[in-house]
Amino acid sequence: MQIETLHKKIGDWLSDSRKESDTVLSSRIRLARNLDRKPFCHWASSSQRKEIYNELVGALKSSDFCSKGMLFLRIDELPKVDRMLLVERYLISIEHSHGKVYSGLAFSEGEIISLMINEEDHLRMQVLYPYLRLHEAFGLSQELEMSVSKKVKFAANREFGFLTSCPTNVGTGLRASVMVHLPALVIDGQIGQILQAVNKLGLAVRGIFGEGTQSIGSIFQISNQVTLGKTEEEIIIDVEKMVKEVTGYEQKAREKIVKSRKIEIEDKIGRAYGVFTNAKVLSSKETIDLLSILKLGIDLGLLRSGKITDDKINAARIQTQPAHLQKFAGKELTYPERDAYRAKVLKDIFSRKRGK
Amino acid sequence: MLCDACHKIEATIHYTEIVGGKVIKLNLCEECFKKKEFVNTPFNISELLAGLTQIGKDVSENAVKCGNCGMSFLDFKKIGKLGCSDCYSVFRTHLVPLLKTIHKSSHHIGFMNKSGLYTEGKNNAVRLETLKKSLSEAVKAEEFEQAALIRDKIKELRKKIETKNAD
Repeated sequence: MQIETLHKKIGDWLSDSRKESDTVLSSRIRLARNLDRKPFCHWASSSQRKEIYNELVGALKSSDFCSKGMLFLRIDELPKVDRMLLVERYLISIEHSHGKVYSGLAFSEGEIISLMINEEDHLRMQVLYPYLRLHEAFGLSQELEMSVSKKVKFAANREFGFLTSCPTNVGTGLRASVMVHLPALVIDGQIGQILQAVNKLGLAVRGIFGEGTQSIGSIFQISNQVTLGKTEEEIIIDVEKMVKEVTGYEQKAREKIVKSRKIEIEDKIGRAYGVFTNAKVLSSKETIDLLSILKLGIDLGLLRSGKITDDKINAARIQTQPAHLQKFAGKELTYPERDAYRAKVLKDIFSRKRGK
Repeated sequence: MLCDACHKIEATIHYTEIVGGKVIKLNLCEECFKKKEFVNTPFNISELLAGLTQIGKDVSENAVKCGNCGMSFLDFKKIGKLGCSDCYSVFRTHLVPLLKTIHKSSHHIGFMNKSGLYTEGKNNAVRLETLKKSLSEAVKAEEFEQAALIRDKIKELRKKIETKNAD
């Protein structure tokens, strides 16, 4: 496995064809851990960051978990386009991509496991799974943490649990987040209300949506905010329950719009397909929006062309981002060049014959 | 409409975030959007701390320093992040009300590994529950190879728990 060819495929967590859910895209578990008594990353000098980096990389490489098939990278030694590529693939955070000295990453072959070294905390372990599989993802993250904790001493105390650089993560150090696709709630105009309700119940919703009520991509992330005073199971179950509730509303909204606005929806879907197969210039905003409509078309069975699958939609969403485009082009692209190249890539994806 | 961040390029991305009941709307260009840090920090730690410590108003408090990493209470108030794990003990009295505000609790009840102090018995019970749920998720997803692995782990863990209980 190497970074040069990474852009050509998409992570296992995105290419699962079992279609367990129309509305839940993926589940993510993140555990934050720090080395006992070592200064937290923002407070550490370069030489201390180096020490932390070396200790953790050594521990990870010798642990039974990470010895097999993990790729280790120094983020601060990568060119900018590669760092952006890792962000676009959800392997590192934007903060981490700035590449402070001795910023590290290790990730597994299918990109299910990603370990960030010297980000906000010394070690952030992430597990990404397709669909609603928080428990399974947490199980794997716990195996990981136990295997690493045999090699290093993590900062923890009886009262506050695992100690993190920011008090908002202390205790379990756990963030459970689920990516959901809610196009019908957006089209039907219920989304604002629902998201506010989620928020009132102590969970965070993040999403990208457009002017007024129009959304971009209709993709939202639901996650816990509280990390202390609850067990990991309780945190996960809270998020899971909320996801089930919200996606339940989405299903109802889908039934509703298919009944009352079928022609309008079919028109949107047909136009989206038309744009992807004919457009010469496409911005990333328009692309994300139209991909969402196409996905809804698949889910509702309203898409005439059987050639378009969830896999293609996911690939298109990941691979038309700026760093991916530039990797495919093999050179740096200006903004107008990107939009033209994006249109070309999308045309390729959606005009291709089935099974490719 | 120009980008809210650079004020130079036309904003193409209209971003709304609802955290802690506050709605934040931003109009950004693609470049600035990529740069934006989508981190979940609904709390401004510095502000919260300022509010919480005003009662004491004791300036000498600011000079209290962590002996391990050298962070002072004033540093912590400014940055909103601790300097090292020892800081949690050094600034404990201020942290407890802060944590209660953020998490509505100031006591960890979750998992602890061997560096912590929870009994292994509790860890095993929690782990067993997690494994059982993972098993049903794996079976539902028809990942039978994975399911078999999880099943073996459950067996192993059950044995462990039973021998512990027999002790």
